Amino acid sequence: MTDPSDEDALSWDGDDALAAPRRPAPLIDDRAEDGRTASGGGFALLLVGVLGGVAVIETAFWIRSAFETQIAASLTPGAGTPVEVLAFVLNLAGRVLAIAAPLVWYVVVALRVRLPSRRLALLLLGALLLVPWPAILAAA
Amino acid sequence: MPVRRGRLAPRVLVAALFLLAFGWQAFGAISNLLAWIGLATAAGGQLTATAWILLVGGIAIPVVGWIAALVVGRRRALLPLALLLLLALCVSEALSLSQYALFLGVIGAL
Repeated sequence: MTDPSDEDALSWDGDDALAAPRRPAPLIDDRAEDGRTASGGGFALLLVGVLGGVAVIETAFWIRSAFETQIAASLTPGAGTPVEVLAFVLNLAGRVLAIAAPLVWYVVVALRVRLPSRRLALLLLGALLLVPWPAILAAA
Repeated sequence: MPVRRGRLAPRVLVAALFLLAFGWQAFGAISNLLAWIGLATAAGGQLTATAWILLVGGIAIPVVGWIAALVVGRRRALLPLALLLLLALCVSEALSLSQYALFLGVIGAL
């Protein structure tokens, strides 16, 4: 234990002015509400990046899925009546949403979920949930 | 904290608009089920249990998707709720395509 009087002996008036300047506030505050970093550290960032790559690959395979013969054949304007054309447009929009699903999931989770463990778990869930089965089954 | 009436109306409107999209998807799945039942009957056969599960699952996907998005987004603001419903619609569309591909695989058409 250091005697407090020794500490006093090593300090002078004006010491505070000589202390190292405080670091400026970071431009991006990545602290979660409980004080931990919201990014979750280097390994978590690496996993988020890898899962982003998985989302891109899945999107590419969903594009391929949409053009598989049997899947594409189920999307037709029929005889071209107004009702059939409307149904075709709605189903086409559905296909576009299906193709966008992996990237939409990734962007929404990566940007909106702050807790690193929850973010990783949800990204993993999305990667598993959105496996492009039509392309895989057609290739098998 | 309960959602005030003034803030409830736009949320109900958004949920109802998305219900149309999810409903259209469920309608397609029901049409699919009825068409395949008709085809099986015309061929003098019946749908297998696996085919039933997959076709009924196709109806359940949009229903579960819409309800899940509403449950998760029930205490959120309008924009996050709309975002959740959009995400659920995307996932629902993808899962429906997977379900249809699995069904085609089961009946040997894929």
